[in-house]
Amino acid sequence: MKRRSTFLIIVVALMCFSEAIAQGVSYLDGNEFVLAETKQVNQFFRRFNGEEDYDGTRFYSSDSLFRSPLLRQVYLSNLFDKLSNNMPDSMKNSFIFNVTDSYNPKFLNHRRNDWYAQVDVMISYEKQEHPCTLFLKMERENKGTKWVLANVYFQPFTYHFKGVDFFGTEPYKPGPYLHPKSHEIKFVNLKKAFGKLDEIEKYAANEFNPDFLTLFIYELKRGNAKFLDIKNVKFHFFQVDNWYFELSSLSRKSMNSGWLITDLMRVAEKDKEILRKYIFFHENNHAN
Amino acid sequence: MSLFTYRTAVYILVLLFIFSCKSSQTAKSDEVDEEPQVIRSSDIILVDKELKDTLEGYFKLFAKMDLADIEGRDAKMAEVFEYFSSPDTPVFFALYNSDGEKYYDKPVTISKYLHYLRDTRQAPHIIQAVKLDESQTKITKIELAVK
Amino acid sequence: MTYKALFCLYFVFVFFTTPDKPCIGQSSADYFEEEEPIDPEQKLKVDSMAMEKIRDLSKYIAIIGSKSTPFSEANRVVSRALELFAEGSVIGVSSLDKEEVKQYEIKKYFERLMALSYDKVKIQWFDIQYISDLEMTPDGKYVGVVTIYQKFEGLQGDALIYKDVTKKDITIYVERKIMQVEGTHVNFWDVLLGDIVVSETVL
Repeated sequence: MKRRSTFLIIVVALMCFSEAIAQGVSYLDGNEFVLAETKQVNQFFRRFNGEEDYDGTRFYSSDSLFRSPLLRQVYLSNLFDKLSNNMPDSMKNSFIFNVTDSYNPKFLNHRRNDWYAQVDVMISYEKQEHPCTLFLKMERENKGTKWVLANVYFQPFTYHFKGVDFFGTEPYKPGPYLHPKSHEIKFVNLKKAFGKLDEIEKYAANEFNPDFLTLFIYELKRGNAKFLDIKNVKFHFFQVDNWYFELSSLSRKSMNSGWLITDLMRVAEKDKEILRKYIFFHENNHAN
Repeated sequence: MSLFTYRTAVYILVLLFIFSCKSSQTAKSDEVDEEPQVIRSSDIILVDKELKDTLEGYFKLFAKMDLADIEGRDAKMAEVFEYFSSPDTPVFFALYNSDGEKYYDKPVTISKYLHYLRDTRQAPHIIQAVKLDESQTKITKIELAVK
Repeated sequence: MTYKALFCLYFVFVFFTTPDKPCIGQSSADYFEEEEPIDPEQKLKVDSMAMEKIRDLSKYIAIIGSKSTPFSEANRVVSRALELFAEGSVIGVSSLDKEEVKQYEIKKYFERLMALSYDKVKIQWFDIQYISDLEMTPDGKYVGVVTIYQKFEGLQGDALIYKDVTKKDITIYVERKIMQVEGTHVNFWDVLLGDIVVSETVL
């Protein structure tokens, strides 16, 4: 118990006071920042769960500090981007309280498929450079795991499907249709329908959901699209009941750097699917 | 020069592989033990201290060698190769024992190993065992472990 | 209750609980295997092997980048350095002022380094590194990432002409293999370096 308290005091002390002490130091003393930095997503998981020492040594279930609520509270308070204004302290505290509740603690598990990587990339398409967003998730194969493509957001594709109500929120607007007696006239009206290219998706069934990943692979295979560069990577977590958070990498000379939570939201479980769709498909969420 | 002088033998590595007696393998150790697996029981060898000292001396020499002195390096390599059946003689690195199984790092040739010592400026290994050819004069396998 | 009745009950349950489209649930099907893929003590040994290879790599880089190394020697060291890597490995380089990550094949990266020809290359390590857990890939290998921090200095005479501090995230592939040595099975760990991302840091 004594060892445990001493360790926690050291952790708290390092996190609270080193920022002041480390001002104006030469880079070699900057090791303090490196130590504090959440250096990998792996480390974010371990710190979130209270599964490693401050210097990164793994705890196992036999260690006294393994998943200690107190240790987790200390780690978690430094796992948020402290410079961000869109997460009020009350909300962060409520989240920390929620996930470290000793009766019902919540842990992150990287081997689940309810967290997504968002990879912003550049694509050359029809001889022009375009930003494109790939969403990946974890999948099991054989005894191992792998990242797989879950969705693609690519503005040149979405532009052609403006008529599709992705979120089911748009009010009814009359549009073109094939009238209910078209079968009697051997669907001769189809030719007219296929002439209206800008509205053609409105002839599709209710359940029609354009699959941009299929289009993306098709265009890559046809040689029309070419992968160029990776711009940025961040993650979306839906794992904690009734919460959503975003994880991004922040490189700065501070005790609060590396992989940090940059957005936090209370989201009822029933609404998470809507949020996921918003992240996947809404133009506001993507560079154009 | 005899590589196999019983009188001066200090490091006696007797290889006992009795797979039929697995029940006796109760002790689990992380340390590299004295029973090399690559060099089998049938190759029971007494590593001559003189040979061990000589070769480990060469290893240290290579770790300190001037990187610009290519001729000196090649001359010293030729000297070391005299002890081996060929520059491609395999070098094994024993890592640890787990559940009675011994684990190794990927083997390299003696030629590559000498380059490694010189390039990385270190001699981190000791000789655990050697296997000699039928004439008992040239090394055909060598097993090392981290000091 | 009869078997048929039980089945009907199950059917009704499934009918009302199965969503028509896949959605974000936390059903048991979302979980993968929980067990540690590798014994913790063996993991420590593998970690130290990986760290050793990374240290070797930086020593090779110092030789390759130094003008005092004869061309033939630099070439030999490049091929030794390449032996540390899995085939097809790339190195991604990101700088503070540019957003994208430039990618080079590892061999190209060494060739560029040779062409730079500093009189002397100095690589200093921060004493902190982070070694991830090892995760099993579908084909039964293990993969991990080691993060290290280094200060690189290229000198011309005594003058410092290039300096950077970088964070390097290095993939390591670990595979347990069995080799036949004169009829005996020999277990060995094949540890190879993979893709690397080098990011300039503000430290």
